[in-house]
Amino acid sequence: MEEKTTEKVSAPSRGRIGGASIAWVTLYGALCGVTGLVPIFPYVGGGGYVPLTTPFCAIAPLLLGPWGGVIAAIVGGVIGMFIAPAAYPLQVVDIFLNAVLPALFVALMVKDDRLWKVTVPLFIIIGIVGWLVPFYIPGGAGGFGRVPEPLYFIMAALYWVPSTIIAVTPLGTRLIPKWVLSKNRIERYGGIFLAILAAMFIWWLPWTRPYWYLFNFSAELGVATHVAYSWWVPALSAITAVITIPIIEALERSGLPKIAGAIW
Amino acid sequence: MQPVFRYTHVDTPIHRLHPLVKVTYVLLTLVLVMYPIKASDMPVLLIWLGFSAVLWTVARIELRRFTTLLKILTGTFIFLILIQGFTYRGGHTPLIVLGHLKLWEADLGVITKEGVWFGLVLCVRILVATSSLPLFVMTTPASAIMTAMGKLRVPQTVTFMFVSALSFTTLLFEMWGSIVEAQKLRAFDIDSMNFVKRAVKAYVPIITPLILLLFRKANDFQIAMETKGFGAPIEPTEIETLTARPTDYLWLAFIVSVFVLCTVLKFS
Repeated sequence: MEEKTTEKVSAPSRGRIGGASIAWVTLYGALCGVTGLVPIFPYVGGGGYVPLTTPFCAIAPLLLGPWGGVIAAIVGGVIGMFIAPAAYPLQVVDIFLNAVLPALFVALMVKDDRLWKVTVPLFIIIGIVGWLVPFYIPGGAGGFGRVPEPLYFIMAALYWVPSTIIAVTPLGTRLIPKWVLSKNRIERYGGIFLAILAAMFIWWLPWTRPYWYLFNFSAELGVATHVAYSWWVPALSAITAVITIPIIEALERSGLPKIAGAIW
Repeated sequence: MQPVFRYTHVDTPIHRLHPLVKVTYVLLTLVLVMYPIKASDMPVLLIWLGFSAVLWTVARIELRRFTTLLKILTGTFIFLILIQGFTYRGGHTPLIVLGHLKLWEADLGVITKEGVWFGLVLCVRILVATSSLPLFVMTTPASAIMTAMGKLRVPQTVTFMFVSALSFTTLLFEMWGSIVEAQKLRAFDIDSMNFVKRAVKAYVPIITPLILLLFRKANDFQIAMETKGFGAPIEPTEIETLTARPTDYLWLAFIVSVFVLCTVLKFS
């Protein structure tokens, strides 16, 4: 006698996020959350630390594929908010600032060969909004001073123009996505560093602006902070790349099942 | 590495409160701190901070937790008071004169009274922002959060991931501790390193084995999930059933009233 099931159970599709299993994404998310308690890098000017969560979320798309990585970063941000609430004063907003955005930008850079039509306009919009907020919007109405131009525009451009150039030129649309998968170590390390660097530079704008608004930054401090962070972002990117490479190499040798979309 | 703020089981009205009422309080706090700020906003912020202090007291959260919060924020507060003292636009009454260094609109050699006051207002604003979430975290168990997420129609997979990740944090703390101890036995002591050395050298020998161990555990977890039928198209049951009681509505009305009072005071 032949029996037929009335409903199809699509466990594989429900149990996976863009190639990575839900279990992997969940546990990596938990790790991102836990590392919210580990300070890695001080803010310029004092007053706090970037937690290890941020580099971990940034490399999540490299380890788990773009979708899995971004979802793991969301899980990590939410968990981090519950474990270290004092580090998340803006609550849900901070989940995006500290965790989701680094993962999203790295995912876009690594898949820039297919996604440059999204990446480039997004970077330009972030750049322009980052220049305008908070000193022009809300500007004087919100109690903010007048910034010296064109100096301020140039300083803000430092954080989005190079990333946009990388994203729009063959370096981003062809070479970085190829290099991160290359067997040549130098190409691979260069690709990972450049992807993270471009992502972290563009991340810096939306990451800082809500706090500038909240702390009511003066125009002078706005300019000074742009200068001070110009070395900080490459340093953070270098540290992130240094952490990433041994992990990728160890995963390649581990015998663990590969994830579609990940670079190992 | 251990969390300072974690759920503690005590029987208080705040612990018994419906999670969605507490979520409302957390979100209203966010709205309040995001209002454009003026130097005259101190009373509004102090009302909400006082209200939060009342909730902390009713929830019987120890004073040392609040002291920890203050310790974490001390660096930020010093930074804000100094920066605003030197650069506040409306500052004209000198408090400390170190010299004169004009930079665009500010005189960077003078700390002004108005600037220091505005810095203090910003410090209270940050304190208001950071005091709401610990209260929610310390008074709401994971199962109640899960049920509340269900009530908000959050997809079951998302809720499952969130609660699983939260429950795995303890395991991660243990794994992190074991790896750090194992590295210490090999004369690799992360605690004795400064932050530059840590950033460059210390994390790789800890994080690499941690991630490998973690992904192996994730493989086992995936098998366990599939064995137990994760993804089967049936309605799951809930660990606990949450119903809104009249007290919850009273608390909700109280929280919203204080928020409305603060908003009216702010914009009047």
